[in-house]
Amino acid sequence: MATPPNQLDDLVSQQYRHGFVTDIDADTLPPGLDEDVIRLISRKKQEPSFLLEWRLKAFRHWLTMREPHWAHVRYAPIDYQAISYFSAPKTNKDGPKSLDEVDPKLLATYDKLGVPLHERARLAGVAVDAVFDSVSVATTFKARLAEAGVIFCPFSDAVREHPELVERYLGSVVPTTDNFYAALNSAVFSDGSFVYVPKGVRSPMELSTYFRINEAKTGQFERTLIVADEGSYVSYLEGCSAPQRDENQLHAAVVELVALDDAQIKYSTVQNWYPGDENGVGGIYNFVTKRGECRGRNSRISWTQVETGSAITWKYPSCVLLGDHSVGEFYSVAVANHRQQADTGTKMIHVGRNTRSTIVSKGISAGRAQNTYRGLVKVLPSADGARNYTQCDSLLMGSECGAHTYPYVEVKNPTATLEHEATTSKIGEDQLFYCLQRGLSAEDAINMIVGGFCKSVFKELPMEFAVEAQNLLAVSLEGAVG
Amino acid sequence: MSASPRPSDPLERLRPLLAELPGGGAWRSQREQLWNRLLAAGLPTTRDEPWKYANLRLLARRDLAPAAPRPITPEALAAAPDAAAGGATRLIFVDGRYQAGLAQRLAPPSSLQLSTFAAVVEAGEPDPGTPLAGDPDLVDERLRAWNGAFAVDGPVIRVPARATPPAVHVVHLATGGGAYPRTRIALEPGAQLELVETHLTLGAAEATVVAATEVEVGAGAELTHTVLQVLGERAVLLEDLAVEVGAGGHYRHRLAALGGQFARLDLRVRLAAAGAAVELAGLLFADGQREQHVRTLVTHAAPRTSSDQLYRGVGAGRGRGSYDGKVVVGVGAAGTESRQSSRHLLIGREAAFDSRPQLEINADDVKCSHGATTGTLDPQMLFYLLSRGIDAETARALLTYAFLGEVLRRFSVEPVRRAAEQRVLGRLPSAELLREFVA
Repeated sequence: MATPPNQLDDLVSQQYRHGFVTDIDADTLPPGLDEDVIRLISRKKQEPSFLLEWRLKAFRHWLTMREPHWAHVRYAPIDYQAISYFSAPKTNKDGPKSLDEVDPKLLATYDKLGVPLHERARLAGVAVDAVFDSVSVATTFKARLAEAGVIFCPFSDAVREHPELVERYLGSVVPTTDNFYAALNSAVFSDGSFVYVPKGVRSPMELSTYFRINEAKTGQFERTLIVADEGSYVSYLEGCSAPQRDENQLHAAVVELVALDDAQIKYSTVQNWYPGDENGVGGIYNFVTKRGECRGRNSRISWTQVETGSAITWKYPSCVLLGDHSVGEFYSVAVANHRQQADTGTKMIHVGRNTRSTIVSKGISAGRAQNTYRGLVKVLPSADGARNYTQCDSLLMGSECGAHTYPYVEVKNPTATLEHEATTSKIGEDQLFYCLQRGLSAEDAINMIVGGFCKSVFKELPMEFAVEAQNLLAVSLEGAVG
Repeated sequence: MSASPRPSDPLERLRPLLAELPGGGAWRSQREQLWNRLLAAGLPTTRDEPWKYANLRLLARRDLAPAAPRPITPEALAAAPDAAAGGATRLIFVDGRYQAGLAQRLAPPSSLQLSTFAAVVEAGEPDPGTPLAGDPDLVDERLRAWNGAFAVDGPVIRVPARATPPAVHVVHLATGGGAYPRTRIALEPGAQLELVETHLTLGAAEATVVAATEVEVGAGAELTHTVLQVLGERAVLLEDLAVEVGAGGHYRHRLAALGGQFARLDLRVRLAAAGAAVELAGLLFADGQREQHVRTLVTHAAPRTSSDQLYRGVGAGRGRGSYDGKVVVGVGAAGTESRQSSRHLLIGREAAFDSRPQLEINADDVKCSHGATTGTLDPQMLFYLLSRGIDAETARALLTYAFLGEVLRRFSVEPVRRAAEQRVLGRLPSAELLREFVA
């Protein structure tokens, strides 16, 4: 290609921009996991007894489970006893009421990330529930949301202030016995976000959470629960970034969504955790369980994700379409560069009549990365008139990477209509030549072609996220041009 | 998930019979070795990913002991199509054993070398093939191991370099109990062969056939392999077919899976050298309570190889079926082209079809695609026919027939295609009327 070699070297050797560590005095448990640790977590968080019992039940079940190894990823065995299961910034003890009370060091961290919290909040009108390690430290626009009746708070606050809602919905979509990582999360989850949108309310703003993994050797076990009551609407944005580490960090989050009659939930993610260096050293292990239940008639759940980070991704945001005429959507861009391994996709389970689902997945592999789409579309005998459309495309950049597609299509109802298409190809020499001939640099040309490849997913993202995603994609693929 | 059956039990019942099988020395130790590996691995269950959709629990209550030889009259073979046009060679195997008296028109040996495993064993010669393809954990090869341990006979066909003999038609008749035919076909460089296989049952015999076939297509050789499976309602067929294609070689497989209670084909093709090509096409007809399963694994191990797969399934009544296809493009297999198409039509209220078209790609200069659909008949097409005065039942049958036409058209052996067409028509409502339409 026409790019001078020294310029390419610069691009290839570019460091992960978000790699830095903020030095904050944290209240961290020593590594290890047993029932006492769970009791301690529960006590520290002043939880009601039903939650402690729930955690213990999950832990006892977890002990009987084995770590799954069916995904197309390889990593060194994880020692679950070498992980610390609780870490809270001490500054949280007084409970900051506003951004002014938040530790300035913390705010500086967000600044470095390019997320000026208050500015962003004011300009974009976004409420931010920032999770720094495990305890939420700042929540904005609470009043405006409260006016509309929307509850948006850290999970631990919800446990104290709305125990009846938590008890009713927690684990109702992802039960404690669901899978190995979900069971572990249920036992030790630290904090996360809780959203409840009451009947007929349209959330006045987009809700946003920035997660960060900060304390060394602390796994993050987020728990998010979003309930959209009848006729309500909410759009939720999740974005992630982590400081550079040489030690692999485990992240096992659980996200549960519940949509009742005529409700709609839009869940968008931009995931940019530390992917490890070009030799595969370090990086986050991301083992996430995300599932939404369309319980009511005409309900709708939409997952949009842009995955560029993590050393290992194991993530299948899913929809269970219970209510008649309910709709599930999954739009995904997964980028894997260097030695990243991503095994991601979705599940659409059609139970109700005339349920519809759409899956659009774009996978990009570069360097020596492995990128896998794994999806299930299941139509049960009760789902008369169910429809699904699936498209999964892979783009390969480099001869040492891999792109894999494992779709499962299971149909038990003759009135269902399902279509699945997949293609795999590399960026065409002719496309590239055309762009270069028009005076674009190789880097810009690739970004443009990849941008076009991903466009159908990006258009589903809220606007400010779409811009960020586009930039992220460009940064992630730096050094992949060859 | 329902509890897995105890799959090893049928094997326990078979164990004492192993010692009674023919062959000494190397053959005996090979049988024992294969059998011990199978016992250690156990029969596949739905917990094994490649067997997720095909449950073998029905083997638990079956008589799997190799059937005793019994005399057969030519009438028992009436259902086999007469693929003899052009002077084809016809070989008959009853319960996996060669019936010399029923063979027809042996071609001159210069263009075709025919033998049987029984003859090889009796002569004390070494195994002409390899019973296992080399999977160290036996994950995919348990049926091959089972067949390898129990097979006593089966065709051994070799076509010398650049020879183009007339077609070979192998008829497998199952009369009840177990049958373990093992087939080996080798085409030397530049050879060409048209091979037809028919699977039949004697009446409504409760037969269980565990078959294994090895195919070797040499450089520039071309094999067209057409299979008509018209087993009776109580027959089970589990077949494992492993194919290796050399440089510039071409392998075509055509499958009409129409009969049996439960049938499954595991088809593994390795495109071993540059320019090798494979075309697979099959129709799976699952009506009544029938199950038709196909699993394919195509490995592109060399540059400029191509694969094309076309499968069409029909689920009627309470029929069930699955297509599980995987294409693997190895590192360095630049210039690979691969297409997979699987479409399934559900016309029975309780019918079900599963499909899993998978791609595993480890090279970047490739063009790979797959398309899969599952659904019911297009209401607009149905309306068109209804508006022309055709009754609903006939219209649906006609569209179902047309849906399978895409596969049937690829059958190059005329008598087999006609036999498959007639079988499909016979299973659809308004068969007589349909015959008039498609005549």
